Amino acid sequence: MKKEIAGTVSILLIAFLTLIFVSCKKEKDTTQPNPSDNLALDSLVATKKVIVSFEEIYITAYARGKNLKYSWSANHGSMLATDSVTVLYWACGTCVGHNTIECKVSNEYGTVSDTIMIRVNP
Amino acid sequence: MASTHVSAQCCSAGSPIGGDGSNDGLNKNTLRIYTSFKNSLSKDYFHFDEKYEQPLIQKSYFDYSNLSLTYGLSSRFSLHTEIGYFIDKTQEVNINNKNEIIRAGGLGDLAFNIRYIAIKTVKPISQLVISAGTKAPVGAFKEEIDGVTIPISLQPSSGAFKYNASVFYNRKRSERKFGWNSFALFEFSQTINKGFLVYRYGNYFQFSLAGSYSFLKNFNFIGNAKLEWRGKDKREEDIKIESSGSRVVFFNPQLIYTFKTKWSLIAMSDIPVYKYMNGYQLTNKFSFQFGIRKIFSFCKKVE
Repeated sequence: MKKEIAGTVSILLIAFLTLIFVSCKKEKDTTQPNPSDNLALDSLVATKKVIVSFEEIYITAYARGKNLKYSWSANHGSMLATDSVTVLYWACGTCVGHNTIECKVSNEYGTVSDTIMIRVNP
Repeated sequence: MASTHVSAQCCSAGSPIGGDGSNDGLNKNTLRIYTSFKNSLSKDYFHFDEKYEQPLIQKSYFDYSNLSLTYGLSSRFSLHTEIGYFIDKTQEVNINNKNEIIRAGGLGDLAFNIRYIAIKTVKPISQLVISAGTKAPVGAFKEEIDGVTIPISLQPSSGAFKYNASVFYNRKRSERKFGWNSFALFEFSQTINKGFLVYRYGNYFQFSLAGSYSFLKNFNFIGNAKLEWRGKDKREEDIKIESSGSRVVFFNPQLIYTFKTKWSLIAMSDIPVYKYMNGYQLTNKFSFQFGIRKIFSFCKKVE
């Protein structure tokens, strides 16, 4: 009787351990992160892409990742940070033309960047 | 002895053309040190020669300290160098009825030139000086606020090498209190080519004519009329920027007090009396400057 119980327990134990092993393995496979989840800059979106001088627009960066740091620059025109992902942009008379605004996003995984072109008419 | 070319460039990048305004050559082994503080305010937008209402940009101003050294290498050649530091370079803008401030500060451009005394007479006291020089963009050109790079016009450094040539002439009879001098300068800039920024400042020409008057014991007053002409800036593909370039006439009074010990106190101002701006541009309202100058002579005494 005792032998039967011991055999049954052994079989159940082996089955249980096998189940855990298999399930752990499967779980490990499914937790592989998508690299772009660590750091990605999906798009820069402006409220308008053609403006006149001194007109104000907002440009927002849509990015993914943790601990993101944003860095904005423009070849012509002025910007002010309104929050961590959006800047206010305007251009004076000396900045008429096709202006490039660049956003760089960085964290411990590296840096990604994107640009948007805003046309400024007189 | 001093003509001035203290240009107030509140709405353009880089250091103001400055120093104590002295463009003369020095005697051999003579050193002139000048340090100053300058404040400049730009407030009104102009379209051609008329004021233009523009509610976004409220005003632009800077506080600038400067150090310049001039040394007489020989009886004919002098070296001049100067550098400045923007204590602040600020623009106030009205965003949604709220005043926002964009501010930068830092080292400006380093200027260097060599002066050659072509003609020098003792009676009357006169000097014709030809000089050539350069400005190197050694200062800050990537200043940012909250992760946003500020515009070129507020960067302490111009970001570009500039080259200039000038002619200075002064004349005064030793027995008279009046004297006069004249100064002409031409400057051109290299193209800035950094990342997406391709930019070239327009050529710059300045002509000034000044009269000086000595009074009381150690006072000297200089009344200077100065014309500044700026050509249009260019961006990528040599596209001219229509709202750049100007013609401005300044009245530039200076008061100099010289101690017996060769120390001098200098106060000067730039007051624009006529402004013509291409397109729509922010213009300078006034600037003033206070400085201290000392001349050292290292000549060996003849026994």
